[in-house]
Amino acid sequence: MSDLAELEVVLVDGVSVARLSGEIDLSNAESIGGAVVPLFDQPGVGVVIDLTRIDYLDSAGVRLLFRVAQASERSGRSLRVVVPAASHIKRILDLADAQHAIQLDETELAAVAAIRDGSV
Amino acid sequence: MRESFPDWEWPRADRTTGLGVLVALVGTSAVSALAGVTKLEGKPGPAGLYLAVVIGASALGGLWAGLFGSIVALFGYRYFYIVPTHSVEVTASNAAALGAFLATALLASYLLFRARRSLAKLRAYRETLELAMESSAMGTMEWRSGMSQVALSAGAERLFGLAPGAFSGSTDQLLGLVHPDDRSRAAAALGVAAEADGRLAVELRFVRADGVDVWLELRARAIRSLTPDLARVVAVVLDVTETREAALADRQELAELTEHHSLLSAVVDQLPTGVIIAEAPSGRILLSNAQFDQLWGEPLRRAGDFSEYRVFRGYHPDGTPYRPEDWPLARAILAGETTVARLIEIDPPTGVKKTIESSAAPVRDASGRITAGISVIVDVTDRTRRQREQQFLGEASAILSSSLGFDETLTRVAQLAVPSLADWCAVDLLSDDGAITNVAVAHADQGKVDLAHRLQVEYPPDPASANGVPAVIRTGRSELHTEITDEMLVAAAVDGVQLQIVRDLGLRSAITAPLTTHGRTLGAITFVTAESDRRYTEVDLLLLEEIARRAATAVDNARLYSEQGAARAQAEEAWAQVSRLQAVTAALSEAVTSTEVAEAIVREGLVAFRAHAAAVVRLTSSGTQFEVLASTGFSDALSARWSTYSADLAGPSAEAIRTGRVVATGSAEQLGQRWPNSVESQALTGLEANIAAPLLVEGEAIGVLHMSFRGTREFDEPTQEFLVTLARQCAQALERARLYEAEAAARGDAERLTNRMRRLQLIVDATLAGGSFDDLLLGLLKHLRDAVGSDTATILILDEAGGVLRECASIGFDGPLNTRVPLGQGFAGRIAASQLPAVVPDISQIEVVSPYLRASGIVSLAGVPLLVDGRTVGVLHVGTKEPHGFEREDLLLLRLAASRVAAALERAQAHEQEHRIAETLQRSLLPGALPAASGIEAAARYVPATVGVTVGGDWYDAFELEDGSVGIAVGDVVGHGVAAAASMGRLRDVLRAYATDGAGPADTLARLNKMSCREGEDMFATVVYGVVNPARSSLRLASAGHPPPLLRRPDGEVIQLEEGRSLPIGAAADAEYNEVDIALEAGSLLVLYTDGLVERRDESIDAGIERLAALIAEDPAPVAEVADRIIDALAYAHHPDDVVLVAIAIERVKSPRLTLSLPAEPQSLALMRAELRAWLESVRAEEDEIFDILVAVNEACSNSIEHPSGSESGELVVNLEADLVGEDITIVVRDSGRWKPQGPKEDRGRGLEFMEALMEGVEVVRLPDGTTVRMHRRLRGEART
Repeated sequence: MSDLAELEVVLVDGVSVARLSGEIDLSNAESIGGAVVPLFDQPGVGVVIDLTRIDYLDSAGVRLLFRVAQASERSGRSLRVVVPAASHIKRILDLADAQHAIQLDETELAAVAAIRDGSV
Repeated sequence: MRESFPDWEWPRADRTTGLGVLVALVGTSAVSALAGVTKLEGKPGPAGLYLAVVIGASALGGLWAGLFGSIVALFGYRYFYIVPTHSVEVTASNAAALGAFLATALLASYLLFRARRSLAKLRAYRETLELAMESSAMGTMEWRSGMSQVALSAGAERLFGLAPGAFSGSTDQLLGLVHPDDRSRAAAALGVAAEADGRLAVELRFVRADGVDVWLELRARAIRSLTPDLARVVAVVLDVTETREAALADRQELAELTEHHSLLSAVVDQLPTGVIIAEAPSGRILLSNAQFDQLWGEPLRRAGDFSEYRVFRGYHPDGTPYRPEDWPLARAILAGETTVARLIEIDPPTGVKKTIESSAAPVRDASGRITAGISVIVDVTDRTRRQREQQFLGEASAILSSSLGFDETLTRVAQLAVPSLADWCAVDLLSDDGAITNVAVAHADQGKVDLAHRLQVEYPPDPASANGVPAVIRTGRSELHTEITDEMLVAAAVDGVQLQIVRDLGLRSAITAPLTTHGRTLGAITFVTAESDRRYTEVDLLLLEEIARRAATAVDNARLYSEQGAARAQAEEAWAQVSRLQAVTAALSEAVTSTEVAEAIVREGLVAFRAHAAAVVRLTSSGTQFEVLASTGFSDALSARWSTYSADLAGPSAEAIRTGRVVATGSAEQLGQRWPNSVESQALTGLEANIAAPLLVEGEAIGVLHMSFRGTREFDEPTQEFLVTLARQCAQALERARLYEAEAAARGDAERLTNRMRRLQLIVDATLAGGSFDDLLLGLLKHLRDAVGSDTATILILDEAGGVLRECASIGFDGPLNTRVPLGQGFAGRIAASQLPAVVPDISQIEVVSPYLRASGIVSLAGVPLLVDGRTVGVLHVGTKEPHGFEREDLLLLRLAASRVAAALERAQAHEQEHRIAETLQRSLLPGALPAASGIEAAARYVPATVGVTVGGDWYDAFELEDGSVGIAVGDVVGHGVAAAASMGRLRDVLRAYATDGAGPADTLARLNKMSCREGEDMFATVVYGVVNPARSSLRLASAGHPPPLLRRPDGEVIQLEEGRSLPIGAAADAEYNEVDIALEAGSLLVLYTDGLVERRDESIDAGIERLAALIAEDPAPVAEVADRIIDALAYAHHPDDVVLVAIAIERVKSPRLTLSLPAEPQSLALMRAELRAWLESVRAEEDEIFDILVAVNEACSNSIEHPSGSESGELVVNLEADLVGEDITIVVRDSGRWKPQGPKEDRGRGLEFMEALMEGVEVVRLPDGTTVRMHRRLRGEART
């Protein structure tokens, strides 16, 4: 993990919530991936990646999310990504058509609830 | 006092009364006595009584009393003497005696009355007199019976101081009272008084008895008497002491006055001004002071009256002399006028003329009567001279600052100086070759001026002379010769003759000053005196130097002005020619036929050359005769003769045609000398000067442009060249018109044909209609089908290889035929091979190659070959689905249609080929990309002509020059097609060569023009060439007859850059080109273009330029957008000419460029973003823009870092450059390796996708040694100012 971004993982209602803050680029996407992907191996119904506090994200970050999504598929556990509406990050994800591959929520609460509901 | 006395004399009447009384008494006595004797004898008593009664009554009671007394006495007489005593018979004599008596009594009574009244009066007089005498100092004296005794009245006694009664009555005693000094006089006076009828008035001094001295006046008069005893002398004596003393006092006063006068004179003498006082009304001069006398040189005799004022010789300003009564002093005395400071020129006896200022005023006494006049006079000779000098300086300056040629200016200045400041004035100028030329000499006498000119020619000044004008010019120092001595003349004279002439001039004094300006001596100005006998001093030299200084400036200015004037005139003439040429071009563009062309040339040429007659004459096709296409100003006879006379006759026109050159004869003499018997020389009466230029088409003269002028005229080179240019335009236009007419004639032929065969018209029209070739063919086929009544019509074209016929156009079939018919095979192939028409009533009978004919149900066919120059180029055939017998007329129709198609085909092919070549050539010649110089942004557009078949000669070029400037050229070569394109290419290359060689715009165009003219090729082009220097924010521009570039200023104002325009390239070999320097403020937009952009057939070019200006004035946008917008708006679909547009924007704000060089590793990205964010914030990009740009740039950098390739050696680096120009951000990311998108397919290109989505323009250039990504985005800029 670089000092560009920080990762905080909490368990909310049995859902692993990875809260990212800072910037994601080529320099740290790999290492963030390395930290987030193993969450699917841990017990729980799914993983939420919260990008609310991410200031910067580019194609490396998008690639990271797709990689995590692949890990989600492989593990059979849900993945939801939290990104506020009308944010810069949302625009980038829209540009990459990320919503086809990744479930997006506007709040962490909604994301966790969606995983919980989905698992039920 | 004398007058206060009443007239002292006895009244004459009373004297006679006294005499009458006496006579009456005597008479009465006598009558009484007579009566007594005769009638009343013995009774004298009563008569006496009677008389007593009458006299007493009269005396006592006056007349009435006398009368009454007489009557009483008469009755008493009768009663007492006649009646009581005896009766007296009243007889005649008795009555007469009584009557006489009564009359006498009455008369006596009256006379007595008169006497008594006179005495009473006399008494009253005496009393009055006595009273008067007593109350005044007056008395009377009377000498009686000789002069020894004198009676004195009381008054007299008082006067003599005698106590009453003290005077003895002796004259001697009286004489004793006379002052001893006056005694003899007194005695003499008495003697005089004693003379018969003597009258005397004498004032004598007496010493009165009481010792008081008195002056007594005695006025004595002798009174005649019949008897010497009765003769007396009466005198009145009166005291005149007071009068006398008063007179004495008066005399003393007079003496004092005289003394005052002397004092006054002394005071007045001390005054610095001349003073003169004259008596009124005589004008006698009472006083004048020393200054007055000095003014006149010597004391003048004091004038006794005005007439003597003639000695003062004075003149009015106009030179008329002063009359005596004109002088201010005289005016003061005679008219009471006051004069203040009148200037009068005087000519005193000394001969030195002076100017005086005279003031005068009348002197009045208490009653207002003018008693004298006083005049004050000041010598203002020096002052007026100084004023005159100042005035001269002023007037000279005015002349010098006038816009006259300096020769005339200096002459006028010299004339101004004469004679007030100098008798001679001369101005000499130094010419460029070092010679000294006299440009002005002035003297009051023109004869002397001529003499001076002769001297100047015969004895030119020696430039090495030690003094005089040459020395002054050489040294730049003034010279002063107060006295010109004979030695000096001798020293300066070349020979005796010159010496004598100069001596005779009587030169006295001279000063010379150099004409110096900007440290350069231009010449000298000289003042010389002779007749005026004046001597110059340092002061005069100062004046002359001042004049010289001003004159020098004027000469300098005049020279500059004349140089500038010449340059300006030349430029104006050049511009005027361009304008005229444009007018001609415009006129020609509207002329279609030869006659219209000729008329336009004649009309415009007449104006352009200010000619009086002009003609365009064409050689007939035989080449042996002239045909007047248009003429004006020539006599009908000449025009008629011209139209018939043979071209091989002599004359300017024929000569011009034969030699192919301009033939000019400036005068009738020249014409007559060269062609004594020519028709023209005979016919051109009144038109002296003639010039003829051949109309050349491809070197062949096809006619002549002829201009004639009244009066003689010089045809200089530019004029001749201009005529050649005009003739060239005329020739080209005539040729064009000829082609048009040929076509029109063909159309006419066709139309005549269609009169016979109406149906053909449609075909012919179809071929002649405009539009594309395909449209033409389809239209023709349609008309042909209708005309022939067929179902199908087809044109097949022989392939270039010559082996196969291909369908080119057809109608009546369901779709494209895509057929190929080998030559010689089938219906069409045979026609093509045999070149003969063919008719097939039933195609089942023959071999057909194409299945389409049968397939479409064609039964009958008719076909003709398409022939060009006897060569088969294709086949035209028609088919019917019903059996059809094609008649001869149908074949004829087909054949005619075929000929039109063949011609159109040929033309189209030729044109298409040429068009393709030209466009290819042109495009290949246009620069691929504009130079990317910092500080400017450029966009260029080229649109070839879409209407018409050939490309034009428009071009542009842009290239970087050594100093970072960018050269931009836009040009338009006259003509179309390959030749024009080739010319354009040459011009472009040569221009670029000259420009990069360091030549400025004007120089470049001048050299380009020289090159074009030298090579003798018929190259005619307009070019505008500018050098944009972004560092200096300047544009240097020169134009060779090109439409004006437009400049939009940052404030939105659009101006036309009209300056720096000269003749088109190829118009005149020695045309001069100017350039202008124009400031290009940041934010400016410069637009260069060719006329195709702004020209419309139906409107003026100005309207087009205005429209372009309006487009440019719109909101600023990147130049590429501006260029597109202009092209969209102006280069509309059917533009007949090429269009070139070059737009150059001068960067508005140049922000600091961000340059980053990063190691090619992921860790660099955050740093890059931080730097770029800071930079973007500094240029006030908004947050969403910053984010987008950061992502895009980050992608570019990521790619470089992620996929390095290429060189393995050395450290890999990513370079980033970010620029902001105006609102436009440009970011360039370069790496040293190859950029190869790799990774999973879905990932591939996502970075590029992001870049393209986030930025407005992304350009990726991949090269073996690295990849460059150039990105552009325009900031919104609302938050920016």
